[in-house]
This record gives sequence, structure tokens and C-alpha cells, in this order.
Amino acid sequence: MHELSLALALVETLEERLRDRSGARVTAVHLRIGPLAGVVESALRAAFEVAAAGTLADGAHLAIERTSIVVRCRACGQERRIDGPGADESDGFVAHLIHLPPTCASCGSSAPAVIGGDELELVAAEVVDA
Amino acid sequence: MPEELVRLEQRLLRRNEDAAAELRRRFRAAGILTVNLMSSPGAGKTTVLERTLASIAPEPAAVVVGDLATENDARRLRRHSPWVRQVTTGTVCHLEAAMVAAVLEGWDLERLHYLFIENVGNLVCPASFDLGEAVRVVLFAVTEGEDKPEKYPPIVHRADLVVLTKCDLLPYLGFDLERFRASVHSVNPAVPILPLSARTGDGLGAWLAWLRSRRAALAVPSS
Ligand SMILES: Nc1nc2c(ncn2[C@@H]2O[C@H](COP(=O)(O)OP(=O)(O)OP(=O)(O)O)[C@@H](O)[C@H]2O)c(=O)[nH]1
Ligand SMILES: [Mg+2]
Ligand SMILES: [Zn+2]
Ligand SMILES: [Zn+2]
Repeated sequence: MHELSLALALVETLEERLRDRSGARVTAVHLRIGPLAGVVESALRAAFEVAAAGTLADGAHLAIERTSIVVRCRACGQERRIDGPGADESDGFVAHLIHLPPTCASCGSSAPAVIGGDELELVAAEVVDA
Repeated sequence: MPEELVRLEQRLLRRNEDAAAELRRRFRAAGILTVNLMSSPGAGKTTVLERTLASIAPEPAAVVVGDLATENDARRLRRHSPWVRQVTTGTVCHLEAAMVAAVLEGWDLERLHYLFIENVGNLVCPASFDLGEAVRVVLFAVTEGEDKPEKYPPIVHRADLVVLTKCDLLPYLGFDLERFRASVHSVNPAVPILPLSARTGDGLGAWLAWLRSRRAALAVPSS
């Protein structure tokens, strides 16, 4: 359900950003998605196929780069990456349990801040002119 | 035919983020504490809000409540505040900033101290849609089990407060409070957890104190 809103926003954004290239077709779309964005990859692909039908991105391939969660210690500034479900096709992110470390591995202070992992970005489009 | 890679580098939900930023600016200027309340369906958002409005008076507090259909929640809340508006989202399973902006039309925000936004009952997508709120509150009912927070990490990780509702039912459920705390903190290590019962009123004082302190903090330039 959520993924359909995202797919529609994606197609709209492509149309907007590529407006001055009339007749251009998008063959691939590069996205960057973090594990905390709560996006189920297979649902997004299915929704995008529907949302893109009849538009400039009809049939375009989605290339999804999965990022990791990054936490930073509020006391010492130490940063750590926590690997999410990765780029495998298993997705179903919600079913994965993500455990953030309650304490910093280097200074032991509690409650590190999450500074990355919720990305939901349109990176680039592969475009063929008419 | 040559393929060209066009760099776009744009957040996918930028339109919503722009609308949310504009709302946030308006709320700040008016000195309102805006609270986005999120939970699964039936966790007790409206009941908590009914008690909150009744207790926070005479401080002026407004509610925007989102549901797929019906005005039921707005009708319940109107008994406690003249500023209650319902957004029926149709098929959309979350509120978006533009919906909130549209429904605020005609309200003099300067007169309000609090604006509560009851999101559509859903633990998934409301997490992705900023509504210009100052604080995000996620509610779980004791009947949902101890492990729900870790099953819905995105919504919990951005929460400023986790409220555990229907605590009057604790004696009947064998709910493990420590297990719940661990589940919340595995996703959001620093977030405070506030157990309450809208039925008995237990915990309501702490909830109101938290709201007041967050509103007081608005006046201080944020770091
Ligand atoms: N025992 C008990 N029941 C409660 C409490 N709070 C709410 N309920 C009951 O739980 C049910 C759902 O409460 P609501 O306040 O409507 O929940 P909601 O989260 O607003 O529901 P939606 O808006 O439909 O998602 C109602 O039958 C309430 O009477 C509580 O503190 N204790
Ligand atoms: Mg409700
Ligand atoms: Zn540290
Ligand atoms: Zn939704």
C-alpha cells in the first residue's frame, strides 16, 4: 500500500525532472533505500510496474542500492554501520529484526544516535532520447 | 541509440517534505506543540486524546484525526474541544503533510497551544511521511504483545516517546514489561517509555507533564 504511493511519487518525479526532454524514455531507475525506510523491495517493484505503465518509464528496470544503518555515539562520536537485510531479494524488511547496540562499542556510553539508514532517494535515471 | 545516465539525486518524498517544512515553520511561529500520534488500529489513540483534551483544558488544544472512512473519532473528540477536524483519506493508509495543511484552513493557529494529529491506524507508512510535527509519539497497547516494537523498527526508531496503552489490562495478560522495554530500546535506545491507562487515568499525569515540558522546550532555540 505504502509502496504504491512511493511508486506514484517516483513516476511523477521522473516526469517532472525530465519534462524538457520530450519523447525521452527511461530504461532504468537507480534508487538508494535504507533499511529504516520501511520499503519492501518486491512490493515496490510490483507497484512501480503498474505506476509506470503508459508513462515515460514504462518497463523501466529498478536498480536498488541498499544502504546500512549508521549510528553515532553521542559521547565520543564513534560511528558504526549496522548491516540491514542487504541487497538480497529476500527483502520483507519488516520481518527482519534490527537490533541497534544499546551502548557504544568504544566508550560504553549508552544511547547512540541513528544518523543514517532511512534513505529513500532517486539517484539517477538511464534515459534514451527519442 | 545512446543511453544517457542522468543524475537526479532527489529524495523521493520531497514534495511531502517541502509541505511538512512549511507546516513546521507555521507551527513554530505560532508557538504550537504539534504531536503526531501513530499506532496500529485500535491501540487507543482516540481514547488517550479524549482524556488529554479533558485534562489539558483550559489550554487550547486542537486535533486533526485521520481515518480511511467515518467521522466517528472526530465526533468523540468534539465533546472535549471545539477544534477538531477529521481527514478521511479514502484509500490512503497514512496522512500526508498536504492533507494536514488543507484541513487547517481557517484555524487561527496563534490561539492554540497544542495540535494533536491522530494518524491513520497503521505502523508502517506513517513513519515515512513527515507532517511538520515537533514530536512523534508511537502507541502500543498491552494486548499487542511485547515484541511489536522490534517488528516495526522504522516507526519506533524515529519516535520521541513510546506510550504503552491499556495498562489496566496488565493483570490479565501476563505482559512482560521488561521484555517490551528491551524491544523498544533495541530499535531506539534512548526513547522514553510511558505506560498508561486511559481507562483508569494512571500515567496520564506523566503524559501531560511530558507534553508540557516539550511545549516549554519550543521556546528555547533548538540546538
Ligand atoms: N481496557 C482499556 N481499553 C481501552 C483503553 N483505551 C482504549 N481502549 C479501548 O480500545 C478500543 C480502541 O480504542 P480507540 O481509542 O478507538 O483506538 P484508536 O487507536 O483511536 O483506534 P483507530 O483510530 O481506529 O485506529 C476501544 O474499545 C477503547 O474503549 C484503556 O486504557 N483500557
Ligand atoms: Mg482513533
Ligand atoms: Zn562512544
Ligand atoms: Zn500509507
